[in-house]
Amino acid sequence: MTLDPALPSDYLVGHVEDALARDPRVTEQGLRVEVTGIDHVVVVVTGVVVDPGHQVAIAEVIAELLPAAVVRDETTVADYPERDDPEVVS
Amino acid sequence: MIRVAAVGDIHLGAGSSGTYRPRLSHLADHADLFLLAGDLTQRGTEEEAEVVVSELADLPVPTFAVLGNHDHESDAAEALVDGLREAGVQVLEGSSVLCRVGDCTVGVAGVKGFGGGFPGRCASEFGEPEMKAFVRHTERTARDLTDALGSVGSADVRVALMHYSPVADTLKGEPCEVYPFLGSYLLAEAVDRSGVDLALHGHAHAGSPNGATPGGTPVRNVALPVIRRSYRLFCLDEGHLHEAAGAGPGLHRHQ
Repeated sequence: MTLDPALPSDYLVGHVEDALARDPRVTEQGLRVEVTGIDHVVVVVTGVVVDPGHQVAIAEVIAELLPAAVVRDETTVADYPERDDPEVVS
Repeated sequence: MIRVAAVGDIHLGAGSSGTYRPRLSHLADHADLFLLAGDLTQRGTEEEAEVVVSELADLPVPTFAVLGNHDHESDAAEALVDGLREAGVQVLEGSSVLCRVGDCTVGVAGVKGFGGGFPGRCASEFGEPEMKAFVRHTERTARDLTDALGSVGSADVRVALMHYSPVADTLKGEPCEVYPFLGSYLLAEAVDRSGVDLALHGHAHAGSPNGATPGGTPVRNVALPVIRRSYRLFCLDEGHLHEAAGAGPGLHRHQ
């Protein structure tokens, strides 16, 4: 499915966020999407993904929805240190 | 010029008999059509349905309604729909009507709608079957609205009637945490796709009266606690919306 890039940006945001949540290549629920651009659609994605492969897939999924869009992936990959200072619960 | 009176969330209970109809005594002086945006009952019981039917029977102008979530609470919505039909009120659900008012034709398409939220904070069809069913219901009702609006595409004026909101504008005043349970942007997309002149909804008692879809269609929250009068009036003239300050006997609250 492709989206009409002339749709109001709110609708493009909603559909791109939905695709990133549902598409089995991504399935990231918490990403934020912003659609900007005057002459051409620019899709900015922010948030944290759990796997570097998801960043590749984000570009693929958006390219399928909006083939002419420029994708700016500003997501980061989750990298959490192992906690070593225990909380003392009294 | 078409004059539309609209209200939602009248929430008539078993003890409301005789209390609502007097509020409509001047309806024919003000309006050519009367639209009800759901939650006609409090708990959707058959007893409440009888009250609603009695209060709305044989109104002097064509009257159309959608149901709301309260009207489904007791699994007796069919009795309400049947009773209203016999009383001259047509309930729209994924359906539409075409009326002639003077030289104009007005098409009214109605769905209950459903939740799901708005861009930036949307539910997605992912995870548990219950979550998927929730989102699919919204997607289906948005498709139904598109189809219903398409079937009155020849009308001079088109109105979309919903219970749930198509936009977040008219939810302002409600806690933002509950927005996903108050409406969905998919309804707005159906409205914009179809070239609607006015979109009406209820459901958000603490919301705001006025908003617009991303495509610029006027959206009005006509929930009774928002409009604080028996109905709100709209005049539609070949796509131009003129709004009266209000009509009907003043403040009228139900919970």
